[in-house]
Amino acid sequence: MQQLLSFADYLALSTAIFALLSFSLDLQIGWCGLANFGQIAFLLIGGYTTAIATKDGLPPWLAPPVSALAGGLFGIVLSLTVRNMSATYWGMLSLALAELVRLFFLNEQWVGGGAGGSSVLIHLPYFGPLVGISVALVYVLMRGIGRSPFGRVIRLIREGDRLPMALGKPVFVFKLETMLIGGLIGGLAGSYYAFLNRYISPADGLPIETFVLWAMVILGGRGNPAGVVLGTVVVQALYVGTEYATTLIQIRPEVLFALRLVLIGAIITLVMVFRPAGLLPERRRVYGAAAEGRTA
Amino acid sequence: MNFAEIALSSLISAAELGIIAVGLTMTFSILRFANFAHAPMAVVGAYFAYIFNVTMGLPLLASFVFATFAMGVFGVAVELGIFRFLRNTGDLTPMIASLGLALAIQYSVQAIWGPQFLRYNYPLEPGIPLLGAHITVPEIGIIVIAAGALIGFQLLLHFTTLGKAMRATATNPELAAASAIDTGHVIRAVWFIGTAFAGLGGMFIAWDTQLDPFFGFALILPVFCVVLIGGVGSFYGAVIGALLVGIAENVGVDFNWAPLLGWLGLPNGGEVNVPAAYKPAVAYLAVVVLLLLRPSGLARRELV
Repeated sequence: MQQLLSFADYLALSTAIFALLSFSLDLQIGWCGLANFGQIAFLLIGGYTTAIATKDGLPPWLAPPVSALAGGLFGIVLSLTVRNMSATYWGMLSLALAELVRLFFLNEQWVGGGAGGSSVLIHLPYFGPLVGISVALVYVLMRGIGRSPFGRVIRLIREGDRLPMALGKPVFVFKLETMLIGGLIGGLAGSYYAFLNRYISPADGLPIETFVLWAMVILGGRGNPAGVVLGTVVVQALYVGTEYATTLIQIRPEVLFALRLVLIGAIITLVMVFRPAGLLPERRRVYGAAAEGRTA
Repeated sequence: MNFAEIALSSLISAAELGIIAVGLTMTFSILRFANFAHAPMAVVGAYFAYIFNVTMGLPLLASFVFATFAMGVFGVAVELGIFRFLRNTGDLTPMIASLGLALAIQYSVQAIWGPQFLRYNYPLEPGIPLLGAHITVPEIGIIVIAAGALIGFQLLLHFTTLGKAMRATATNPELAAASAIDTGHVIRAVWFIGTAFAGLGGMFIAWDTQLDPFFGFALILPVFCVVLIGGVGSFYGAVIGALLVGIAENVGVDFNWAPLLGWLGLPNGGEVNVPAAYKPAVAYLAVVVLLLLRPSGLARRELV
């Protein structure tokens, strides 16, 4: 049975899991312009898949891939709802769908224990290295997508559906693929989350969690994988670092909890007003004759 | 639950949602972005009224008046401090900024007053019997004030120069500016009225039930749903949408669906109710269905 993780281990692993979710979100909003305000639903679906499947006898090493698949499936479902909706409207729709998913898990006791959640008693061997390698691989994947023709098309889609359609690109398919990949990564993150905390509950899928992920992506830099890592680390550091404010100032825990989220909100707004691209803006890529022998 | 009780609670829900939604549909159509922070403003309004009523000891109705005015000023401050700088940045940037603002104001309220439920200073009395239901003083007040505010707003829109300017800016901002309408002034007025209405809605909710910091976020989707039903920019659409959502939320959960299931040939145990915890799901499901089927709403044309 796993020993109690030291605090630093837990912090590193949970930051890694948030990084995975942030990569997934950045792929959708940073590169494709799909404003997913229901991102945390991937974590819920992946986490519950792991919890339920391992209870029913699935070997632990199979849980992450199966959860990733579940997340990917939900991503496909989400992509079917996009049509040609504006980012605003689809953002609301994704929020509504994610809330419906959460309400489902909250009320249907027979699925995952209802409000009480579901525990994960099985241990995933090599958990730490597995999470670390996953994050590294997804980072490489994001960089690769950024350089690839697929990445070029979805960034074009971000600026509007018409030009890629006029160029003959099946916009719907590209959006589906984006959300599929995003869902696979998100579902995987959900599985790791369930293993890390040994527990998953509907409260893990509240909208505030999605908004924290948005803060990470917005602050770090939309469309820049390194920026996403930076944003995740900074927001996590702020979140955890302010825990220790109690040693400096006399402040009650529930006030501190609320103030931390005020800080997150303020960060999001201030970034949008003063530096909308984030700390590490998206890399400008130069193509064509002008780019002979150089990149931006 | 009898029919009269359901009708009354639907009307109250409609008044609460409607006053907030009218503000949102107006700001949405004139400012051209989805303001995530609009519904959370209801929480701020409710707590402003708390300051006047409980902390400062003023009578309840006077507190509502002062708080509504304070909310208007707060809305203008938000415009001057934040959204003025995001004027021509598309629809996504201000929406994300409004998300940050929503978090900041929601959790500031929680930080200051804590998560516990609070109440205004007014005597708790049993309801007056009326047409089969019991109507309480807050409920009468909500209906009267909501009706008054909405009628007043319609009068403003159609009988004042400002109202005409607002309608013009909603229809065509560039042409309005070219016609020497001070769009900055109109925008500040929109923020004032919209935020004041949102705050008023929050005061209704707090008066009818209690004050807690959490009801703001829970309102974002239902209010957006109401706006969608009626069509963005449509005042009457928002009113009708509020009635529909108010009825759906209250009927959907209290209604015994067994006879309908029986008629469809499905098994039922004599009494089939939607679990009360799914009450918010009504609005969420409506948002999904509406956006997929008819995002332009029920209104056939804009009726600002």
